Amino acid sequence: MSQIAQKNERRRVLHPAVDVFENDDGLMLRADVPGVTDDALDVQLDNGLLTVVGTRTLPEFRGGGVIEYRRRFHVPRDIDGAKVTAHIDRGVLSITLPKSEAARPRLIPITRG
Amino acid sequence: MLFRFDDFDRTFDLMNQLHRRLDRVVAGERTDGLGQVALHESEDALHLSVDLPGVKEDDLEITLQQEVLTLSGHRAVEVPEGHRPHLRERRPFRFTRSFSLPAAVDPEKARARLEDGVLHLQLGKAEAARPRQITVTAG
Repeated sequence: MSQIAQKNERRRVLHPAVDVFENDDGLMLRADVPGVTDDALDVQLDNGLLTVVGTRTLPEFRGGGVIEYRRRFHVPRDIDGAKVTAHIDRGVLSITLPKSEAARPRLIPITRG
Repeated sequence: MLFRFDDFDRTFDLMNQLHRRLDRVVAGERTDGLGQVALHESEDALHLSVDLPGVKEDDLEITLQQEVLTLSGHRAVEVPEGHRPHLRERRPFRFTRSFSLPAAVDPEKARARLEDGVLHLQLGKAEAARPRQITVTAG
């Protein structure tokens, strides 16, 4: 194997620190993924399992190779997978996971009868 | 009356604890953001790189005094308004790091860029610190 090929395959998996928040509309997840851009991010929700993978290439003087940030979470079934959105700002990933309409808390008006 | 789904929370936490353990067994290590400073010296410049996720330009200070470089900054980690936390692993941090640079640099040739949560710092060397080729002439 050539030296270049070996370099390309060097991949380190890291599990980034994550915050998870909830409000009545859904969940919000935040993770530190420095150096990862939107196009190197993969977020998948499959059968209630959320998989987040972001990759970055390190410059040679930082050891080179690829860092893969990876975390998995089980999310409640009432998350609407079609409405999940993600973006990265200053190396911090935010994923918004809205609850499906039916799962949102509803205020039932009480009328005097 | 307000319907709540708190039973989800317990399942959610338990399953995730399990997953975290699994993840750790399978591969990888934990990282909580603030990185080590990496330094590289080229012929005409020093290059520094450090991970600073969530740090804003205004909250970062870089000073150069003689050959001592000081980086200091901070970030806050907040609960978004109207939300309640389930899991909080991200840390706020405040840091100051000073280094003696391995070569004299020209402050006029310093460039700092904060991109995707990574600080890239390029410090051009002072003329006197650059390597010079000595021409050997036959005598």
